[in-house]
Amino acid sequence: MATEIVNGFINALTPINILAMFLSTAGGIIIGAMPGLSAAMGVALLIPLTFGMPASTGLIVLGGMYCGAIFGGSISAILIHTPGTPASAATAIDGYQLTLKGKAGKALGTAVISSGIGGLLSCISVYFFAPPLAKLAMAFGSPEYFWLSLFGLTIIAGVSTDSILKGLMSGAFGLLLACIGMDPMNGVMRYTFGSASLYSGLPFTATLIGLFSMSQVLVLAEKKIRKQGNMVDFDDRVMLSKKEFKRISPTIIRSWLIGNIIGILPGAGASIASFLGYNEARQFSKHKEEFGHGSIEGIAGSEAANNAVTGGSLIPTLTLGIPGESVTAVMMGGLLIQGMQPGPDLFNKYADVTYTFFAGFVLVQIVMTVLGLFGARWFAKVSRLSDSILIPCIFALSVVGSYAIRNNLFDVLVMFLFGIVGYFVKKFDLNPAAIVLALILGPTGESGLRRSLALSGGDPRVLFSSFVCIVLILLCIFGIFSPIVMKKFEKQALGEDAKADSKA
Amino acid sequence: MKKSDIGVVAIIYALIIAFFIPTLSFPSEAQIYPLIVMAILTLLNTLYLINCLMKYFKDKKIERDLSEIFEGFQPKQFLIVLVLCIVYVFLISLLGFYIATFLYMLGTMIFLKVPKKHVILTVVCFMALVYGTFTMFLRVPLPTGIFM
Repeated sequence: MATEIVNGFINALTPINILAMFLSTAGGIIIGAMPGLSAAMGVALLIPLTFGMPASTGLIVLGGMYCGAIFGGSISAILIHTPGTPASAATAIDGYQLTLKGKAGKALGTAVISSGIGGLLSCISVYFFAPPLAKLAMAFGSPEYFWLSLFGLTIIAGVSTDSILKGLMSGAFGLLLACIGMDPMNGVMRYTFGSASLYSGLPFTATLIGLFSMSQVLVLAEKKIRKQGNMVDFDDRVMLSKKEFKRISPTIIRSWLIGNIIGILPGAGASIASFLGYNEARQFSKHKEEFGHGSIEGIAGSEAANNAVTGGSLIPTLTLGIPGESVTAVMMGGLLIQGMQPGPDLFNKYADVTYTFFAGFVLVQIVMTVLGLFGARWFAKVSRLSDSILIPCIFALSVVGSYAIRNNLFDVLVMFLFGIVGYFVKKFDLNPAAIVLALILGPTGESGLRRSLALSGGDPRVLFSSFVCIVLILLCIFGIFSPIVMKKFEKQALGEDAKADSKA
Repeated sequence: MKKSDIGVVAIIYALIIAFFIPTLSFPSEAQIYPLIVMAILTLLNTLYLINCLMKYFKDKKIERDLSEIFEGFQPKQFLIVLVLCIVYVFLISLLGFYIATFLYMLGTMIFLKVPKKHVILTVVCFMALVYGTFTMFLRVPLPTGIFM
């Protein structure tokens, strides 16, 4: 494995990959810093671009966008008290207080350094946990794959929505959409209405772009247009002193562990991690009185935790194909259009690509830190872009992106249709990530189920025949009930943070 | 019980029916999986409906939450942006990608009252970015329209 890791770094350090890291991370920071735009939307828009790139470069680009956007959310959280992404909500508490005191630079510097170190340390877990977990997947047969796909759906269905039932309904609706196209076993056309463009199912990238990007255009268009943001200019130092760095170091390490574990657990996400990281920072701090009034430990606790999620969340995504949150669900789409399936193949057949991506992911954290430290002022300016400019740009990019994969205007129509579907899905608190994941996992689940039944002569007991099947069934049950526990955690953390905020 | 919940439940039932009717014409082997999925969706939707009804019998009222969901909704602006998007998609096959995009961006930004200088700068930068990325780098043959 050591050779593969070293080779990965050598491949990742080619000029084109370095350029890709800088551009995608910068793009991610800008998207994350704009309130209303999400990391998932940014990754969805980038997927068509990565299609024409070598697989490793494409994945590095998506990783750069992901990490950049998670950090970028802290810029608007600190400067205008509006988190660019939900993952930075806890950062806004102390970050904005520092801005009011004229120390916005220090707040941003703390966020950059904590995000960079949190993300960097989270990469360690990717190297250690991903390969053995992928080996485990080698023992899976058709029945296991059926249960695994169900587990993935139960996990994501509970994320991002208030009602678990609505999340599960979104997943089941996605499974129904996944039935469109050719039957995987005997080639019967289902729900294609004679259209050749639907023979291989719904165009995945176009559906993805519609659900996440085009829908955002409608969300932006429905409200009074946000003109240029009113971010404050700041002139204090972004760089932290040795003493300040020493003060936040234990918090960063604690938040890294929290974020990393939360990231590996499918079903949790960056926003839960950041609140837990913030709470733990306050719990262990020698300066508790500063929390809510502009504590750099508070910012470090939240930011190190949310960026530590990025590395951790790649593990279940790449090894078992069960992304724990919406951004990794979209990223998995990027992996699939490169013709790569999550699982053991990534560490054998495509080991060079995978380890180059891992190395790129490590380097992206460094790039993000450099860009953040030296470009924070500039990113703050760019993120003031008005919605009236963003609306036509996002829609035109959605059009060209959905067209580019198959050079087919039909895909643009599908993107448009799913943009409208995605708008209502968001409005009525259904879960677009569950729909996307069901589109990915649907065919795997159907093949798994039908192959198992075919091999056993129609006996459904085959689905309960192995130890792995039983474990996966138990995990499905856990997947349905875990959001209830997670929400309790989040509510508890939110309650304590609201108290801190009101004191401020 | 929220008014929006009634809509969600009704739409999901309608979608199940819309998928169920063509499913009947599939050979039996190809029917099994979609029917299982439909049964699961029906079960979940019914559970959600029961959940809503229980809330209704407890509170004895239907919460009119649509105004809350669409708070601050700008109907004129939303519809015009949507219509411009639709017109753009249809213009692509007629005028080609670049001309249609130019007209769409210009029209949308003028409608949204973007200052002229920013409109020109955005259109030029955007077109250059798309040309550089999709036409030069990825070599995607973007639609040229019926006049080319």
